[in-house]
Amino acid sequence: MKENKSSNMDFGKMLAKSPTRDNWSKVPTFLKMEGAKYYEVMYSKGGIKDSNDLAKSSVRVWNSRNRLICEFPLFVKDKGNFEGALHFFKDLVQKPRKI
Amino acid sequence: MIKQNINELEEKSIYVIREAKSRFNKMAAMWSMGKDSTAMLAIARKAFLGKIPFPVIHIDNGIDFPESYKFRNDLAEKWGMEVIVAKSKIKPEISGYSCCGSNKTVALKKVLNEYGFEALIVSIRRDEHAVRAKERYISPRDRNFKWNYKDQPAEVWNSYSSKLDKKGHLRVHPLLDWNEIDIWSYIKKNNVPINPLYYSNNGYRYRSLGCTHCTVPIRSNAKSIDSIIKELESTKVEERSGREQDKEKAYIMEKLRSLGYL
Repeated sequence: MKENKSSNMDFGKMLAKSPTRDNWSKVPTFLKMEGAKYYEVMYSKGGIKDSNDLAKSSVRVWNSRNRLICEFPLFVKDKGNFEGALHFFKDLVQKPRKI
Repeated sequence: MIKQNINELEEKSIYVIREAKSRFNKMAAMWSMGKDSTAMLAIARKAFLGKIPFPVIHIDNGIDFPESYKFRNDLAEKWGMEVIVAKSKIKPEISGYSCCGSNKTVALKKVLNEYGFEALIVSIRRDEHAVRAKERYISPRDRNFKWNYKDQPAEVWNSYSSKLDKKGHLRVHPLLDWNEIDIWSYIKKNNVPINPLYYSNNGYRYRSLGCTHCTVPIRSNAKSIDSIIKELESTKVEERSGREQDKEKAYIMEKLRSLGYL
C-alpha cells in the first residue's frame, strides 16, 4: 500500500480545523484504506480543563507495521457542542504500551 | 478477597431482577460494557430464559475506549439486546467530578424522562467503594434524582420496598453482595464474553473500566481469567485505584451518588 504520509497528516489537520459530523463521516473509509490497526489517545498533560486542552488532545493511529498514519482530533464539534469521537476507531486496538 | 458461593449469589440476583421486573412496568438496565454490568446481563438472560426483556442503556460521552464500542455492538447483536445509547456532551472544563456529575448524570436524567422508566438495574457492588456499601437492593431516587442515603428503606427477610416517589425512580442493585473475584468466577463458569481490555496487553491491563480520560491501566501479565483470579487473590490494591474520579475526596463520591451518579 502506497503511504503518502503528508496527505494523511493533512487529513488529520483538516479534521482538527473543522471537526464537523460531515468530515468525521469520512474517517471510517480513510482508516480502512490506510490499513489502520492501532490507536493511542493523547490527552493534554494534566487532563482537559478548557478548550485549549481539548484542542491539544488527539488520537494517533498506526498501521500494522507500526507506522504513524495520522493524528486526529478527539471530538466532533456540532453547533458549538463537543461530542467524543472515539467510536469512529472501534475497529482498532490500543497500541501496546512500552514496558 | 474471599470467594463466595456463586450459585447462591446468582440465585439471589435472579430473584432480585425477577422481583423488580414483576413490580415495574418500565424497567431498563445500565450497561458500561464493564465486567460487572455484562455479568449482570448474563444473569438477566438466565432469569428470563435466554432473553433480556428490557432495554439496556449506555451513557456515551464519546470518549470510551474504542474496544468498548466494538464490544457493545457485537454483544448487542449476539444477545439480541435493545440498546439505548444516551449521548452526553462534553464540556471542555472536565474533571472527574464535573464529567460524571454534570455530563453523564444529565444524559441519564434525559433518557429516563424521555422513556419514563420506573426502575433502573445498576451493577454496583458494596465492596467497590465505601459509599456504595450504604446502598440497598432496591433503592429510591426522588424526582430530582437525589438519593437520601441517611433515610433508606429497611430490607429484611428479602422484602424490598417498591415505593416510588412521584416522577422519581428506583435503582435495582442485584450484585450488591458480590465481590470482584465472584464476578470473575461467574464469568469463567458461564463463559460470559468480556471486554478485551481486561486482559494484559504488553504488561498492562485495565482492572476497572471507565472512559479514556479517567482510567489508567495497571501493571499485569494476566492474559486469562484464571490468571486474573490468581492475581486478585494476592492483591492489596483496590479495584478502582485506576479511576480518577474516585481519587477525589470520599465525600465527593457521596455527593455524586446523592445527585444521581451511578
